[in-house]
Amino acid sequence: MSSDLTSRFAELAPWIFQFQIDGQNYGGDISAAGDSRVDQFFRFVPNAATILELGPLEGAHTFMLARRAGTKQVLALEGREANLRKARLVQELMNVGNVKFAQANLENCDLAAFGKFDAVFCSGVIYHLPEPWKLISQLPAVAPNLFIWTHYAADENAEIVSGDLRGKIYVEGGATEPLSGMSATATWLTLGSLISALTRSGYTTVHVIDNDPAHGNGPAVMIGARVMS
Amino acid sequence: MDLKAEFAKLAPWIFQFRIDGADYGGTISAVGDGRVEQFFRFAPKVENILELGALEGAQTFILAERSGVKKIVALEGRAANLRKAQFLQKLLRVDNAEFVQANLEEADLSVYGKFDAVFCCGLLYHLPKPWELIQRLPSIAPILFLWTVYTAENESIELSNGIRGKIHTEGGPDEPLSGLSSTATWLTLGSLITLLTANGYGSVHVIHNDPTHVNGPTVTIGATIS
Repeated sequence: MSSDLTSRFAELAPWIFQFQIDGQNYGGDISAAGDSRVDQFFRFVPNAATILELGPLEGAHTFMLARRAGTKQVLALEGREANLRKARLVQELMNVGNVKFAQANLENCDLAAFGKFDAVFCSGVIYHLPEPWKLISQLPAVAPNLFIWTHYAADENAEIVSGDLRGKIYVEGGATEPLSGMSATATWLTLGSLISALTRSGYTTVHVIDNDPAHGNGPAVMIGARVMS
Repeated sequence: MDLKAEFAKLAPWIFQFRIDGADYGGTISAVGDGRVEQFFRFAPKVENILELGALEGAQTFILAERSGVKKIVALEGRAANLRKAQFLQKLLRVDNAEFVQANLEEADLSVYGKFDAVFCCGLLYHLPKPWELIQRLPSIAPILFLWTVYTAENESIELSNGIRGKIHTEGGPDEPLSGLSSTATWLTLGSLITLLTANGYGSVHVIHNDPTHVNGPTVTIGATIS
C-alpha cells in the first residue's frame, strides 16, 4: 500500500466506498465491485453511450459505468462538495477520462442545462429528496431511458404527501452526513405513487426489475422506465 | 340459419361480432383492441394460452386466430356467457379454443394444465379477493398479461396484510359483466405489483398506466417468472 495514497485518502476521510488501486484497497468498507445494479442497468439499456448519473457520492458506480465498453461519457451530478473531491481524487488515480463530475442540488437544479443523454442512472437518490416527484418530472426530457434503485414506503406507513401521491416523511442525517439528502427530511413514496409519478411524467413503460419489500433498510425497488416514441 | 334470431335468443350481448360481412350482437367491437396486440408484443411466441374471464369470447377468437397459437382454454363464470361464446365458436369455426365454466374466485387452475401464458383482461377487479387468484397463477404459466382497473391510493383503505384497496359494489348475478359476488376489491397499483412480485413474478412490466380512465385508473401489466 502506498503511504502517499494512504495519506491522500486520509485527508478526505471519512469514506463510504472502497476503491482498489494498483491491487490495494483504499477508502471505506463497502466495495461496489459486483454491484448488480450496474449490470441490471446495462441489461436494461445495453447501448447507452451517454449517461447522466444522479447522486454519484464518491463515484463508485460512476467508474463502473464509465469503464463499460460502449460508454462514451458519464456526467455525474453530486450535491456535496466533499463527496466530489473524493470522486475526483479517485478519477485522477484511476485515470478515468470519460467522466465529468459536477456539483448540483438535485432538489432544484435544471437538468436540461446539462444536455441530453441516452440514459439516466439514478441509484440511491430518490429517497433522499423532499419532493422526489419534481426531479422525476424533469427526467423524460433529459433521456428516454431511466434506471432507478430506491427505497419506498410500505403502503400501510404512508399518508398523502402531494396531490394524490402517498408516502412517508423520513428524517435525513444532516448536512455533515455524506449519504444524506441536502434537506432535513426526505419523502419516501409508495411503490404505486412512484410508478404513477413516472407514468404521469411521460414514461410510457415502467419495468419493475426487482422488488424487495423485505430489504433491511426498508422496501426497495429497481425500476427501468422508458419513453417510447 | 336465421342468425339474427339466433343472436336474439341469447340476448343481451356486450360485444359485436362480424359474420359473413354483417354485424351481430352488442355494440362494442373487440376488433383492433390494443390489449391483444400488447399481449402478443409481450409474449410473441405463446402457443398455449389460459384466458381468464372470457365473457362472450370476443378476445378469445382474436387470440385463437393468431398464427402460432395452438390452444386456448377460456374460463368463464357465467353459463349464459358461455352459451354465447360456444354459439359463436361454432359459427366462426374456431377449433383451437375450449370454453369451460369456472368460478375464478375459487377454481383450482392446475386441473387445466400448464400454459405458456395467462391472458387476464378485465377480470381481476371483479373478484372479492384478487390476491387469491394471483397466488395461483405463477404455477400455471411463466407469463401473465393483465389489464385491470385499480384504485387511486387516496381512495384506498387497508384491507389485510398490508394490502390496500377499496371495495366496489358489483352489478349482481344478472349483470353479465359483473363478478360472481356482490362486491369486488380494487387494489392499489402498489399493492397489485407487490402481490405479483411476492407470488413469484420476478419481473413486472407496467406496459401502460392510465390513471384518468373514465371507469377508474387502469393498468396493463406483463409479468414474467425469471
